[in-house]
Amino acid sequence: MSSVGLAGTSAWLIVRAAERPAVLSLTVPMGLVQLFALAKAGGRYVERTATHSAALGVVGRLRAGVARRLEPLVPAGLGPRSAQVVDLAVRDVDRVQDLVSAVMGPLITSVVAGLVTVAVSGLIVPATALSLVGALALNAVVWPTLAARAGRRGEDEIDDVRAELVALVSDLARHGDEVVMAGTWRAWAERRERLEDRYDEAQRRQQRTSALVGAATSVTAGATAIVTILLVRGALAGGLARSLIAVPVLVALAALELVGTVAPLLVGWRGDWAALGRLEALGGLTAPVREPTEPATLDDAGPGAIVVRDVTCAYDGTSTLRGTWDLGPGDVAVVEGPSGSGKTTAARLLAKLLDPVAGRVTIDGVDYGELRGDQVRTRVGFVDDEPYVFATTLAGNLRVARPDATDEELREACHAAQLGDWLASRPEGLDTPLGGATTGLSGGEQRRLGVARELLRHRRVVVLDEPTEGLDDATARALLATLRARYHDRAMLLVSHYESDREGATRRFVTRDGWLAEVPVASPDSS
Amino acid sequence: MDSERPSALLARLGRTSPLVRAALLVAGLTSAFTTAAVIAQAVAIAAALGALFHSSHADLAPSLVALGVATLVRAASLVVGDVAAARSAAPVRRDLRARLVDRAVRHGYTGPADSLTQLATRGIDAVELYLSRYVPALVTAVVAPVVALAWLVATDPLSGVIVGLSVGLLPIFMVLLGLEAKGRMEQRWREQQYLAGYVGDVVRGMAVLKAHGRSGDAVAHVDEVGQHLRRATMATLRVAFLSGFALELLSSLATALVALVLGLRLVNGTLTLSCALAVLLVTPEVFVPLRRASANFHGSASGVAAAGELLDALEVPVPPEGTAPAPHVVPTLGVAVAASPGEPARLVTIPPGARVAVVGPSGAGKTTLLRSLCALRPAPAGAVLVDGVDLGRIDRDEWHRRVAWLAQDPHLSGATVRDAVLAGATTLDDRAIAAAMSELGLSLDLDRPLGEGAGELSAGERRRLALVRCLVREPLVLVLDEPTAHLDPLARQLVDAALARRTMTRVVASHRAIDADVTIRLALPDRDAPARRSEVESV
Repeated sequence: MSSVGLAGTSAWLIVRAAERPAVLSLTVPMGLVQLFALAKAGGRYVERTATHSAALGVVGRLRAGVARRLEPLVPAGLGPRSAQVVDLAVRDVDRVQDLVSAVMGPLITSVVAGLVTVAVSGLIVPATALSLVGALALNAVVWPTLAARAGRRGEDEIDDVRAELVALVSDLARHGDEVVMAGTWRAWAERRERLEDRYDEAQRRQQRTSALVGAATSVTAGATAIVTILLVRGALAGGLARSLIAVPVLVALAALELVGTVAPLLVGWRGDWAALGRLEALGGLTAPVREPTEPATLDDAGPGAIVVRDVTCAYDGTSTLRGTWDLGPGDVAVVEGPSGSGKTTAARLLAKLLDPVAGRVTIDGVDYGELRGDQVRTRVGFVDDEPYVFATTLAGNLRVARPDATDEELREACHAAQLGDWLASRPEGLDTPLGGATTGLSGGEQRRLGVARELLRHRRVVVLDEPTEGLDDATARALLATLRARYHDRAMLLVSHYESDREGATRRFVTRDGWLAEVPVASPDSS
Repeated sequence: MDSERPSALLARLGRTSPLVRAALLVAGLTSAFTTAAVIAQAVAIAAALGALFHSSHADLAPSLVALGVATLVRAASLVVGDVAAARSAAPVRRDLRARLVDRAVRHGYTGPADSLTQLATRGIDAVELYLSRYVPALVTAVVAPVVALAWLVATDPLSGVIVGLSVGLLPIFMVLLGLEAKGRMEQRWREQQYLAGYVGDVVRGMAVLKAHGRSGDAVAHVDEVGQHLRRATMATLRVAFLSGFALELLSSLATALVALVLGLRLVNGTLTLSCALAVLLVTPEVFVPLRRASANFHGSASGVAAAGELLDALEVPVPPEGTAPAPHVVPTLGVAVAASPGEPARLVTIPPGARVAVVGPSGAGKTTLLRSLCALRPAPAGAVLVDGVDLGRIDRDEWHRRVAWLAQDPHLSGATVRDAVLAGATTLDDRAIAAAMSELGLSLDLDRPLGEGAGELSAGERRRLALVRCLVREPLVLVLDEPTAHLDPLARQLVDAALARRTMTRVVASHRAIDADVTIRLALPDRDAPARRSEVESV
């Protein structure tokens, strides 16, 4: 805004000066030039702080809204890749913040400045208003839109290639040693090179488009200067004051320069809009459980006996698991079955993280439908297969489960969860910082942290989703032995795909072809 | 906030990847060219307006044609600059990714697998963006002002001096503002990072909070933290934007001052209008690139951080490749084992065909020892000898054809069971595979399709199939990391029996003591309990 003013008034000043008037008559333009110079710097500062403050306000509300929306959905309402969906939502909020602060602010300022410039220029030479509007429209709307449209295909291709590269590198990062041993390293390198070729090709297309748009923008500015000069010449014949001839040219260039900084931002917009759309879509998802408004009460002294009768569980209307089973004090049950056969669904059902679409679940005779999820979970503990590690200390991570636990209790829980040796090896002990970009824990340690949290609660029923995955044999056995001892008078359900986890179990369930059925513990491997 | 200076980082990048230097050169040349075209445009516009000022019938054709040509040249040079920046960044990306992945896979990566994946994908993309966008902006910020300033000094020394002085004042301004702000800024930055992280943390950990009945409180808390975050961020930004303000203020004051001085000299008649207008048009061009580079500064932070991390990973020296031939008959192996870290190692001799048990609790280094036998990692306590020759001097690829390794968490890839067993080998026939499978109690159709990561099979089946993959290769040395882990007792017996029948050297890591000719017992390193020591027993 002020930068246009600065360009305009200094142009006026100079041409006026060239008429060689008395120095005194230059006072007004001189004063204006200085005023705009100061206003330009101050204005930009105010603009930036104001737009960022507004952006943060909007995003703060958005973030709280996203947290509120996700709370009832997690984990069963977000599909099979719940953790990734949540991670994407967190990053999407940041993207929207960029959209608001880096795009909206400059966009508004440049639109306002553009309009004012058009008005000023039109007052001096009416025809220039038209040419300037045309130029602004080309540079602010037409070129960026064309670029965005042309770039879309390339962008999709780049996203695809990126996803494939992530999968490839992550396979190599995990199993690179086996690849090297098998001598297939070169084949993998070739696969990577082919992906890089596709990436380069798509990017080259993108680059070509954006470079052409940059060129078109700059040519438009040059052409505007030529047209404006010719229009000014026409106006001079019509009696335009000589001192004003440079103003339309210089303000037009200043306004186009301002818009030019915004145009590339508009091209990058699409991704940010998609982020906003994804966040909106979260609101449209149905919660996997209904929470009653007037919940029934649950007897504190109840044994925690769960009965599941004729249930059908379904995601997106497709049935994934049916069955009738029960679980009570003294049971040590394992649930086995191939990946994707519904083991985790069964586990979530018991913790009221998922409602059945048909049939019923009761605990101590009370229907889950009459209880709030939080009530059920005061009795039923659920340890997920990838328990989140918060960016705080080990103690902080454990106290999530029980804020009033003493240090002694925390240490004891770690020992029981087979994290004793790990804890002993940490000089900072319970104050060891965890979380952040990398959790600082291996997958197996992360699972044992989840178990330690659960041991602090020691609820009537515990459901563990693959707690021994990633543990070595001895640690897995020791962990299960401790759990069996701790929960000997309670109920324990273990989701597992390891044959060895069956040892010590009193009951065994198998999920297969959409059904959960009980089989004898000693029967041979069903697969 | 503690990041490397761009020049130091670029020098490091240039040492690692010579392509970076070429990219810098291209960026410098095109930005000089673009600036020259911008100046030509300004001169042409000024000439046209100057002519108009003297007569509304003046012949504008020469200056307008010049303007048109300058405009086209500028556009062309922009295209060349953009495309060149992208084209020179792309090979750097490929080169860096190839080297990082190659190195990490062949020589190991110290961090967790996830952080390698992050660095090799998002990290390297950030470096590419940094090179294709921020670095050219940085180069332009150096080259363009110098070119524009040189023209100003040559055309109108007085204006040149004014602009030159204000550019010179810039660092002083920045330092004055910076000194005052830096301390507070860093503290605020940390606070803000913490708060921003906290909200993400709560949302990502929602499932855990929910399992423990804490999610309701947490959601309410997010709102409150958001308010704090806004205040903290604004406090940081108000300070951060001061440097932008300084730049803006200097540039507009310089433009204003140049305009005033030009005006006064025009009144005196010591200057032509065309010249004055050209100077006025060129003056902001000195500052525009500076402003752009400073606006980009925040965006470049992730690229700078990733580049630093990447270079740290690439600058670790790797051991030289061995060239000595690998043996053709079962060799005598020698393994150095230290009783505890730092103590002199003793050499354990493993005669050809021996069964070796490596036992000890997890974390004692069993897997590391096994990997060193496969020449995947340097030996933990000095050396591994193969028939008296240091394994490091033997050709690695050749050694890998003599050894088979069962990883703790074996990975099966391929469309079918047969593909998974073959894993790149071509000289195996179905009968050998079927025989090994039945030996281990596996009855799988060789053409049975396997899902991603062989998810169709149970963990026990996967483990045994991976063992089949090792056995059918008939290596001179079998190196097995817990071959019976997670198996039921029957499968365990079959595996033990299959191993007992083999005649090659078998090295097996295990938690429990097993029948063996040589047992290497590894202890956890523990300063407080010196009684726990690694030891070796031979039968």
